[in-house]
Amino acid sequence: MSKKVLKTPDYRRVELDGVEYVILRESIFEELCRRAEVGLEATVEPGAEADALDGATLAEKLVRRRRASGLSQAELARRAGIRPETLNRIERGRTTPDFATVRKLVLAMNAAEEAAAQTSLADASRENESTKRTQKQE
Amino acid sequence: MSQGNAFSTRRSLTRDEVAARVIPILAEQAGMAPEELRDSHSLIDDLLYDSLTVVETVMELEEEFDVEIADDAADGMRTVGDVIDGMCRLLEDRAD
Repeated sequence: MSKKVLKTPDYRRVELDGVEYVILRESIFEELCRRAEVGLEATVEPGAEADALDGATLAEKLVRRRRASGLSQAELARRAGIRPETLNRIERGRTTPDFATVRKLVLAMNAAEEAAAQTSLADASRENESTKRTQKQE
Repeated sequence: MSQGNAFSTRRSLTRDEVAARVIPILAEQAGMAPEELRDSHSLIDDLLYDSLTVVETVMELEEEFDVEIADDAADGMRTVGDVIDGMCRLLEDRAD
C-alpha cells in the first residue's frame, strides 16, 4: 500500500491506493458545511421570491433596458409618446403598465439601440478608412 | 372542407402547423422545453412571463408570421392555446 501525505497549512492531502483524500480539522470541515448550506439557500431564495417581486422585476428590467439604450427617462417617455410621470411611476414599480404602453416603450428603446449600433458601425468603418489611409502614406 | 376553417382558398396554416411555430417561441422566452407546454398554460402564471416578456413575444410572433397583432388582440392572449388560436385567426383573416 502506497501512502503519501502532503502537508499544507490548512489540510493534508492523502493518497491511499490511488485515491486522494483530504484530511481537515473538524472545525474547518464544519465551517465548510455551514458555508455550503448558506450557499445553497442563497441560490434557492431568489427564485422563490421572484414571483412576489414581479412588479419590481419588470420595473428593474425596464430601467436596465432603458439605460442600455442610452435614453434618459424623459427622452424615452417623449419618444414612446407617454407622459414622463407615467414612465416614472412604472420604473418605480408603482404601476403595472398595460400591453400597449410596454410595446411603445420597447419600440422606442429598440429604435434607439439600432440607431446607436449604426452610429458605432459608421464610426468603426470611418476609423478603419483612416487607418488604411495612414498605412498607405507610410 | 374536412378540416373546417383550417384551410381557405389561399391556403392558410392548420392549427397544428401554427402551434409548431408558436410553441418554440413561447417556450424559449419561458426557458422551458417546447414539449412541456400545454394549451391551458397561462403565460403569466405558468410560463412566468411579465408584461415585458409578453410584448417581446408578441413582437417575435409578428416577425415570425409577418402579421400585425393589435394591442387588444394581444391582451386577449392569456394562455398558450389563446396565442395559437389568436395567430390562427390573424392568419385566416390575412388569407381571406
